[in-house]
Amino acid sequence: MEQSTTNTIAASLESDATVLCPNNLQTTLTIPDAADVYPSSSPSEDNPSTPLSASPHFPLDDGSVPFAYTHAGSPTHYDIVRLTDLPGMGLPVELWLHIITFLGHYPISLLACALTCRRLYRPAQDLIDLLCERTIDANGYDDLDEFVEELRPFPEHALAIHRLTITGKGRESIPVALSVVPIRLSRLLLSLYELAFEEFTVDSQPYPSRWSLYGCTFPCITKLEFTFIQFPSLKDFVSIIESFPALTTLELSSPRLGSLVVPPGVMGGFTKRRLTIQHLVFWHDGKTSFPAPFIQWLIRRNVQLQTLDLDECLHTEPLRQLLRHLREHLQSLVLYRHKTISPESTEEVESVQKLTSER
Amino acid sequence: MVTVVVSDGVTFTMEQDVAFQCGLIADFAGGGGDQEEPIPIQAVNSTVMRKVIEYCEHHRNDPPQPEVPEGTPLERKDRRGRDAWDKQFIQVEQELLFEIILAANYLNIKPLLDLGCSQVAEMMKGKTPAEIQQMFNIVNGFTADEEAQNGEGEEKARNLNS
Repeated sequence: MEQSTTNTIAASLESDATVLCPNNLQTTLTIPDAADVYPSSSPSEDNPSTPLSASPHFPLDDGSVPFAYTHAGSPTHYDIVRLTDLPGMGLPVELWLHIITFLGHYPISLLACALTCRRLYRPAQDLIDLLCERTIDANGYDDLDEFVEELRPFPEHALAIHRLTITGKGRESIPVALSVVPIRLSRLLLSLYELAFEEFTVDSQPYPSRWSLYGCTFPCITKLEFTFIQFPSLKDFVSIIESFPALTTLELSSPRLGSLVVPPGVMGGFTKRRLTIQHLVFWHDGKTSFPAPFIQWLIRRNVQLQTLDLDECLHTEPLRQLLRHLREHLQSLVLYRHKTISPESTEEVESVQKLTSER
Repeated sequence: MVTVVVSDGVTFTMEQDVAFQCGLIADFAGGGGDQEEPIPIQAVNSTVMRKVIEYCEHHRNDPPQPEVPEGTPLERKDRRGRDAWDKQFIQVEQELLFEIILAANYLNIKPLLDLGCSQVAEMMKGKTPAEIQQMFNIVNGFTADEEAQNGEGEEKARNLNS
């Protein structure tokens, strides 16, 4: 009987709980392994059977305390006591998971909560991650307005956001809210250091464009990601990159570039500032390639990459040129699915400490 | 009228609109007319049931809560819904608060469950892990290594605070 009950508890705890967070972040909170919490003890008696068949809102397990509770004032050992032994002193973990969702705008309290108990650690951490990485649909102003309205009363939450994704959700248009995002969010997101743009078309505007506004508003951005973004030209693309003064990581996933022509003057840089990009990742969907003029620009701007992850997107000769340029600084080179170049042919890169080739 | 009998044998009779705020009772009664037999509610005692009925009577005329549509921040909804009476109502001893939460969960009264849970969350706000552990008598269960990592986490929290 005891074994059966323990198994039931373990089975119920192994399942994931889906929780709707206060700011509507749907998350799956994984309840840690029951064995961690139920090291040796087992329930002493069955829960009194309930006379009604309807399930409670958050179905409880068989009455055991999912938390490791002890009686008040007892030494800190792993006593597992039944909920019914301590009326009012314990709540099942399902309800604690619901409780922490009310801390959705208080990441510091959530962090404290995570450090309170092993059972709450992972769910609270997952929630923190969700709260700190937000996404805005920039196709209209509604999402942006709601985002601002949500955060304004909670500066602690706003301050904890370190990554913002602006998505066009694949629509073939320029997101209308794109140019007002920096203005609306500049005083809120003071700790933002990752910015990701997804699935939309960038219009061509003379430099300095709306992009320089992003760079000026969020000068601490260190990581930029572009995923399925259509740029009118390589010139526009590099002008965007140059507008972020502290950029160290650039991740490009299947960017679409219109014109690859870059005027000679632009090759020297829009700004005279030294670029600090150290990490470059390039993925492609089979339709795009890593444009050779972009390589030229990297070399002309004397970008000293320390890590380079490349999908099969660059022809051999431009890649060799780049590696030759980076030979003294590159520490990690990862080549995915490259058929045209082998790791052996990159041996001129003297400084590489980690070389991976995955087909 | 609906009659329930709770774990310590006390019987409560209430009007349908009060009783049917409890999803469990509504399900049991099947939405029909007066219930002749008292409904046994073994998981709730009379002290807690009195509080539950007090809550249901106060909110008997509330419009039915719409399903929270996707995109609506629950906490804002909760803060709007938490009026002065609710705040006063839920200011109870911790032991009773937990029992109300358990009862609301068992009886399937979502607004009361949210009210109780948000009150516990309020109590946790601004507290250190040690204070929360002490307040709720929680044994953390972390290993020594995890404790060391937690020290770094607390440092992170302090940095966020500063």
